[in-house]
Amino acid sequence: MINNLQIATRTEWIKMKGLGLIWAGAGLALILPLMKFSGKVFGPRIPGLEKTSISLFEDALSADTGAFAKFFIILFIVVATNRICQIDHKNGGWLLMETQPVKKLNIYLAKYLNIIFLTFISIFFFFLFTILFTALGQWMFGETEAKWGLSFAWLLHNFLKLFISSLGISGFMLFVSMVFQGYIWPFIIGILGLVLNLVSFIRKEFYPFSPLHTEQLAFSQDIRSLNTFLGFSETLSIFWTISFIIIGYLWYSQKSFKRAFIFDTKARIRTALLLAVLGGVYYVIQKPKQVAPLTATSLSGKLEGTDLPQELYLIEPEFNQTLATIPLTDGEFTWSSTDELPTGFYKLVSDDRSINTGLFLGKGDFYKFELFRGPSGDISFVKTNRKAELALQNMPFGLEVSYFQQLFHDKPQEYYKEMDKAWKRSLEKLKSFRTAENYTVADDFVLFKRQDMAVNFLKAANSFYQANAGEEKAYKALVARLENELENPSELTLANPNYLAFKLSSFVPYGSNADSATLAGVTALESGRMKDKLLSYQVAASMEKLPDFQARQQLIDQYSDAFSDPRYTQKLEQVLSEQQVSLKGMPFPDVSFRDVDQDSKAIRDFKGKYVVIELWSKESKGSRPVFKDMAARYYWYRNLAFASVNVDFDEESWKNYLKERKEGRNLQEYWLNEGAAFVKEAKIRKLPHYILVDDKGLIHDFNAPAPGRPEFHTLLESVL
Amino acid sequence: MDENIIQIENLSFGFSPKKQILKNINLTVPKGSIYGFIGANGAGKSTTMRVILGVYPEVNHTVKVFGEPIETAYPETFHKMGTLIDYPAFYDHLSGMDNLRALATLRKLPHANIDEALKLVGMWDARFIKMKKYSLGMKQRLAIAMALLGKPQLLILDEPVNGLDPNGMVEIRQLLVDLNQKTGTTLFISSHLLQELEKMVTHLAIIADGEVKFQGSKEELSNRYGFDKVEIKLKNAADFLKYTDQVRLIDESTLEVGTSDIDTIVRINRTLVENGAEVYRISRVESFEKWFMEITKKN
Repeated sequence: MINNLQIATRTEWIKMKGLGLIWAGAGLALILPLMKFSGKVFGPRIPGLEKTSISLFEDALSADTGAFAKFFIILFIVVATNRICQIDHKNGGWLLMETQPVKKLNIYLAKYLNIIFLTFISIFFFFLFTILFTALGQWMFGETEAKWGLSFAWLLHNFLKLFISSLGISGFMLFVSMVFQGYIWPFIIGILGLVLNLVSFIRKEFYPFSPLHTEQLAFSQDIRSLNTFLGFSETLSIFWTISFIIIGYLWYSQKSFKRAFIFDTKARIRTALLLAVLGGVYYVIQKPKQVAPLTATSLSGKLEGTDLPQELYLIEPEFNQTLATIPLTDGEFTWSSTDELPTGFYKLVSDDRSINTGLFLGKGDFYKFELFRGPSGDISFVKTNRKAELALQNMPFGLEVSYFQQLFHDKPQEYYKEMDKAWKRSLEKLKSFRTAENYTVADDFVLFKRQDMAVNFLKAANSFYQANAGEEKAYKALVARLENELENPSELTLANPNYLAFKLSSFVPYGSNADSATLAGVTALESGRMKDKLLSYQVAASMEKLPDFQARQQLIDQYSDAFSDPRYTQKLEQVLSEQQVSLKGMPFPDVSFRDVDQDSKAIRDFKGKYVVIELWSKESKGSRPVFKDMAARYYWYRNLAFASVNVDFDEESWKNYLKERKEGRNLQEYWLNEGAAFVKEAKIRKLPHYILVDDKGLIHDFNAPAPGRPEFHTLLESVL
Repeated sequence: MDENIIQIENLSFGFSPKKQILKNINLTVPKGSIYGFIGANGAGKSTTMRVILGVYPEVNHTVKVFGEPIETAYPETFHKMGTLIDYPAFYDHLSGMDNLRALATLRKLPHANIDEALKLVGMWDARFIKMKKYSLGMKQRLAIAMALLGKPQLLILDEPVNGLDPNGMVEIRQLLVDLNQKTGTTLFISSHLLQELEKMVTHLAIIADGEVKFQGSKEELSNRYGFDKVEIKLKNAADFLKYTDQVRLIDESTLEVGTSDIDTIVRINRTLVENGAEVYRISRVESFEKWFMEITKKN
């Protein structure tokens, strides 16, 4: 049997001679690497953009393998299967083969084997070309030191994933190309599959029912983050392979659907059995899965790079307290605990930067990190049973309701109808949500997301009702249903700022923003966790509106007795101490900048000048040229200085950047050691960031407007 | 010749139960014979051949090749068979050589067979030319080479000389006859070109409208139909019909007598001559053409 199959495969290979399929496979594999290389040859040179790199080749392959898998390899399979079948469709090829001493099954399988062999070759060429052109590009144009290494295990993993995920596509396309005699239909079906993949990409959904979707599933995330070596996409691909080889062969053996599947009772029974088995297997495979929690909660991982921290801290979400200190040995860490752990968004941080600030963690969950440090931040990968929750957290559900208010401003009836529909749609989407690895969301998170959505819908509905009277009945019905969702807020919902803000808004008439009224309302509540949470949230929010440190401290003192759990007061104290750094009138933190000659400079060294500080990183340079212009424009003001401070990880890389750009001649350029930690502590959300410090070294405006904006000049004029 | 290579008993076949293309066909192809399968276009020749080759499904055990029902005989029995069905099947993007190479690989044959087959059909010089550039005659020759490649014991050829020029026809016919005589290969050949088969077959079957009208050896056919008729050639044949009722008019110079009895022929001839007829030839009706026309006309 195997020998005969081998012979049939060799025969099919001879028959493919002159079709140019190997060339086509190599040609399609060449497009992406060549385009990238051409970009380096002909495109503009942007010097100094040194990025964090795992390996020169891994970076290049990671960037392009997805596009190759989702488009080029599928296109190649569509063309190759079509071409291979066409040679038999015309000039009586089938008849010739079927009057030879070879089984039809072997003919069918031989074609399939040749197609997957061609796919294998094309994938091989893609990897080869990418590696060669990347090396050539680095050799010819490389400006910074490259990491030349390449993990063979990683390469093999990519290769296998790409190849195995293509098997089902080949099986399906062979079936289609055999059944349809003409060239055009198989081609159209193949292109429709690609279009469906595009739709899935845009809609952020997955369509496992499409046999051409497996590569899309396989390369929807970096393979370093995959929980299992091979997973959903590969299982599905093998399922499609087996299904279409069986169905395709049955069809081919009779050359007629009728004869193959419904001709007589025997065929009908066989068809019914086949459908039942394949349908059953498909149902089991595609059913989204929840990863069952383990008995112990565990965090582990590996950090690579220079300047690694000694230990990591696991911070709990409620009071921001350190729950565990996890030591690092040779960049590796591991922590596990069987203690009860309330589910919530934890943080894993080191002294200088965060590893992960949205760690959705509960008892029995596991997280496994892989992190590479580099000049422009970390590249991190995480394996966890909470994949679906992390993915869903970033999914905008029910976003459309924010447009409804404008869209239906004069049609309240339609508004409530659409809201109702949108709510149902969102619930449906939540229910059917799955990741590319086919994980679905755990029940605790579904409830949290559902209640979060209810809050958003309620906020939208209330706002609409206030602005557009009428249809009170519809409004009340909607609100009643949404409020019903929130009757028993889960622990996660109680920690959700969105929910707390919404709940607090009910203490004051709609639209007003009287903090004192809200605070009074909350204080009047019965003691308990709910009150504590609402109050601490409101006090923190009110504090931000107060101008100075003393006023904020007074506010905390005023309400400290209202908490049943004193830890909430401590939490507020902590918040205040963090705010301190950016309050007007507080001394600018005692940090030293370093210039290109390694000379240190602190704020006090500016000796009686107002200083405009720009904090920037290479990833977010923003309006550096404008800042430079401003420095030139205000040059003659002797009591004003402009300092541009880089907060990147690597000082050398910053220097190279200035050197290559020939920048830093007209501007005072500095680099801040552990700048990222400074940015984080000061709660700066976005770079570049501008700060005005007064002539005594005190903060004048921690959130100064960007240079170039009129407010920037107004601010400077007010102090000069 | 007591062994039958192909044996068909009561074969009926159709793509739908209501419309039968083949009706109760019985055929026996003896080993070592050159078996002509004759019928007009659409008579059912190709369908019968496809059923014999297992291309169309036949599940009633009515067809045997090499003594084995076709349901179980294939594909292994194809090792002993060479076929050329209908329009010659080939891969036109490949050269003649590569077409043969593909088949030789499949049949596990040595390369020498390819060279031999190419030379045999006179295609050696054109072996590296792609088949799409071949003329119809060249394609036909290569198709025959493909059929001969495995040195088969049975050759099934559907219209093998289609597209060949007169010289080519003679050549191929001689090739096939030689093959039969030297190696004992059984040939099952279909054609509507009766003159071609007439000169080479040892046995034949005539099919019309899905039914076999005759099957047997060439002698049997002659015995059955050949002596029954005599043709009298004369000028103005129609004028002499009135003198005897034992003749019928074929055309203006031909009368036919429906008997082979010598006395009757002599008597009719005398009557015609006495009445002034200028008889210039009396001969027995013997050509395949006549037989074929006769048999198919009857029904």
